[in-house]
Amino acid sequence: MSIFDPYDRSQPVTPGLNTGSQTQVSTLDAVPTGELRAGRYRSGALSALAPLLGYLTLLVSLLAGTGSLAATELCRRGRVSAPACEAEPTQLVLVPLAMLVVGLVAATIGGSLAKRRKAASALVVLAGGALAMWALVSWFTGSVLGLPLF
Amino acid sequence: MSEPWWAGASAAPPPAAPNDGAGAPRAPWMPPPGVEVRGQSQQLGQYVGGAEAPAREAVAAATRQLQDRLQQVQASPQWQQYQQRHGDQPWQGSSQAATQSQRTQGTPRRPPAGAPAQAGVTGPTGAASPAQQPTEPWVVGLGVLGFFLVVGAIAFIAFVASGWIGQWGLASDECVRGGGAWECLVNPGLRTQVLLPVVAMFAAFALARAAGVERKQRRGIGYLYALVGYAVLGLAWVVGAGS
Repeated sequence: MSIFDPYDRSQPVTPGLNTGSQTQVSTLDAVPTGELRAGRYRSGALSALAPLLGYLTLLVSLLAGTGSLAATELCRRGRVSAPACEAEPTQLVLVPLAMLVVGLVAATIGGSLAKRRKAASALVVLAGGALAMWALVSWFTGSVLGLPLF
Repeated sequence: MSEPWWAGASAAPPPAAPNDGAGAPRAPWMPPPGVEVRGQSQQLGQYVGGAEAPAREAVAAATRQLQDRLQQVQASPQWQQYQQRHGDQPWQGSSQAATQSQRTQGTPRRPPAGAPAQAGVTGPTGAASPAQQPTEPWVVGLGVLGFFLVVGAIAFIAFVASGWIGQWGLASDECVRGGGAWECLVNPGLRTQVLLPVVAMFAAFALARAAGVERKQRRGIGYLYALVGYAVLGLAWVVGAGS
């Protein structure tokens, strides 16, 4: 007569979870209290490192852009013989922009992960972003501008 | 079509309704006598009336099972531990309970020398009475410290480091006009008097934010972050003034 017939055929084991299926879900199992559960609090250090990476990215990309301008000016006056003098102007413009994008994206992702209490992922993302920034900056100042790193 | 269609029919009356022995005529759609047909409520009786008994038995059995299980759990040592840590209302103040459990879990592992990091807060230990809801005292003064850290960083840049940056700018401009190249711009003066104060300001902002995050969670390590922020500003001032 009726297709779904919980009271006749499949009786639920736990009243209250009356779905008629055989799920054995108990809300009274022992609560795990021994080990340290991850994701219980927000790490203050990671909440500091993410904006720090963002601020330093802004500073570094600004300095790289200013360095490109200074290199162009010095090359024009003939005082510097750096690879920047033969480099394409687009490279001198795009690499600082790439630094900006990479650094800000890494800082944003790391910051939101730190906010969501995922400390390990946030640390990985921030460390990767910092490493990428370091590589870009050292390549740009060394190979393109011909400078020692700050 | 001169006549209606029924006109040609015979004038015989419709067949009489079957008459059962009781004398009252019965409608033709009713089943013939002798056939026992249960109505819809009678047909559903096996589900409506008859289902209550097995369902009641099953519910009673499940309730007994649950009560046994509840007694088992309440007698278990894990439940005693949980009650000691979280009190009778574990659903209230979950962040407090979490930080408190974090602290009580961390104390057996860390050496006592690590405890002064949280010296500003004296929270209840895990042996608090379970009937009381565990409350944590507010971290006193951390908001003010963070505020003055930010204001101090801005003041440091605006009043102290601005003189150095201006000085460096004038000197490098003279040098470049005089015919210099990169060494006019990238020199120790740039590192210690221009970049270091700016980086110190950003570090102070970031550490103030860290102190704010820890203040919201009522953890004492926020004091440490604020202290490190002040130390970074002081270090940048000393190094910049010294060169």
